[in-house]
Amino acid sequence: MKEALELLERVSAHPEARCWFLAWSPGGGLLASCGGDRTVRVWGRDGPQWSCRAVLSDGHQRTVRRVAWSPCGNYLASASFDATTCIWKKQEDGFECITTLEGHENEVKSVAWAPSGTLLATCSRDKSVWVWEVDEEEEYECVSVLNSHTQDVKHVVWHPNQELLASASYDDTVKLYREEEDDWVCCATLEGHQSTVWSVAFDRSGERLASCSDDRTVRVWQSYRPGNQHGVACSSTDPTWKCICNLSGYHTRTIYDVAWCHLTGALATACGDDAIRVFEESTGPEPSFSLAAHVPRAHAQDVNCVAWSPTEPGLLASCGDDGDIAFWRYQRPEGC
Amino acid sequence: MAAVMVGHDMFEEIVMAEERFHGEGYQEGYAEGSHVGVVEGRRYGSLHGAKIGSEIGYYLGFALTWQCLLQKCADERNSKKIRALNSLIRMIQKFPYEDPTYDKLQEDLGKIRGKFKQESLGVKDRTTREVRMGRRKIKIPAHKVAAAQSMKKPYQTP
Repeated sequence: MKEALELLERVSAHPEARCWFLAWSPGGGLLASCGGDRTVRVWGRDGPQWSCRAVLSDGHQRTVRRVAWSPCGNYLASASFDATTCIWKKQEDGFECITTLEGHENEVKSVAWAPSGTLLATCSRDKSVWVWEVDEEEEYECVSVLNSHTQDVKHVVWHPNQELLASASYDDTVKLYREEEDDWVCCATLEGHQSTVWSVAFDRSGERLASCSDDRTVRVWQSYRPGNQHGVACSSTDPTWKCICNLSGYHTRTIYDVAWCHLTGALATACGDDAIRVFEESTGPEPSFSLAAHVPRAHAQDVNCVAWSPTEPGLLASCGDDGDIAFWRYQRPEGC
Repeated sequence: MAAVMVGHDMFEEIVMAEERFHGEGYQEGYAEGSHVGVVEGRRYGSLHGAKIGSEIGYYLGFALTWQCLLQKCADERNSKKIRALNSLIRMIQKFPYEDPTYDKLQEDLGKIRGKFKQESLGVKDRTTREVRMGRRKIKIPAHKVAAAQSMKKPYQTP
C-alpha cells in the first residue's frame, strides 16, 4: 500500500520553525509556504528540483499562519498571529506588500479568496469571520463582520464556484455564510464533530464538504437542495447539509488538514500522528471511503497541511512542525 | 398525670428546639437573603443595562453623525457606506432596550457590534488613507523603493 504515495522530494523550507500551510498558485507553477519564522516563501520548480524563488519577510511581526493566492495568481494574502493580513502583489522580481488589513482583535488564523477574486475572507481567535471586498484600485473594504461562532475560528474556505463561505471553529461546528441584501448571514451550521474542527474542503462540484477534527474523524457532508429526491427536509430556500460519511478509526491523533483533489477526487489528510493518509470513494449504493494510502512517518513531527496540485493529477505537497515541505506522487492503487 | 404531661411537653420543647431554631433561622435568613439579592440584582442590572445602553448609544451617535457627514458628498462609494450605516441604525432602533428578557438580546447585540466594527473601519479608511499610505511605504524595503523610483513604472491594475 505504501507505493501508492511515493516521496519525490523533501525541502527544509522553514528551518528551525514550524511550517504551517501551503498554497499552490492557480497555474500550479508556484507553491507558497508560511511558518513560525514570520516569513512567506514562494517555491518554483527547476527541472525536478524545487527551489525558493522569494522570501517575504517584512510583512509580519509574528507567525504567519496561512497563505492564499488570488484566483488570478497575481496576489498573495498572508494571515498572521500579529492580527493583520498582508496582501502581496507579484512584481517582476518578487513580491511587494501593497496593503495591510487591520481590524481583527488578535491572531488571524486563516484567509481565503473567493473564486471571483473580488472577495476575501479572514477569521480569527476573536471568534469573528470578516468578509472584505476588493475594488479596481486595490482598496480593501470590510463588508461584513460575522460573529456566529462562539469560539476561536480556525479556518475559512470558499465554495469553488459560488459565493458561499465555510468556516470551522473550536466550537466544534462548521458554519456556512452567503450574501443577503447587502449583508452576509450564516445560512447553515454543521454539527456533529465532538471537538475542534480544524479544516474544511469542498470537492470539485461544491456539492460536498469534508471536515476534519480534533475528534480524529473526517466527516463528509452533502448538500441537499429544497425539493430533493432523497427526502431530506430543508427549512427554507437554503440547501441542507447532511453528514453522509464519518471516517473514524483511521487516525490516532488530531487531524489538522483535509484536501480534496479537484482533478482526481482523492481525499488527503494531515494528522498529528505525523502521517499522511489518502482516501478514495468506494463504489456502492451508500457513500463510503476507503484508505488508499498511508505514510506513517511522513514528517518528523505533526503534519499541518496537505495540498493537491491544481494542475498535475496526483502531485501532493505536505508540510509540518519539522519545518519541511515534502512532495509526493500519488497513484491510486489497483482495486481501490 | 399533669406533671407527666408538662414534663413531656417540656422535653419535646427541648428535643425539638434545635430543629425549630434551625427552621426559624432558615426563614429569617431566606427573607433577608432574598431582599439583599434583589437589591444586588437590581444594582447589577441597572449597571449592566447602563453599560449596554451607553455602548449602543455611542454606536447610534457614530452612525447618525457619519450618515449626516457622508450625505453631503454622495458618490457611489459613499452611497454604499450610507446604506451600511442605515442598516446599523435600523438594527439599533429595533433593539429592545426595554425588555431585558428578550431571548435574542446577546445575539442581536453581537450583530450590532459586528456591524459597527465593519463601519468604523470603513469610515476610518476614508479619513486615514493618507496615514495608511505612509505606513505602506515603511513596509517596503528601501532597495525596492529605490528600484521602483528609478524605473518610474506605474502600477498596473489587473
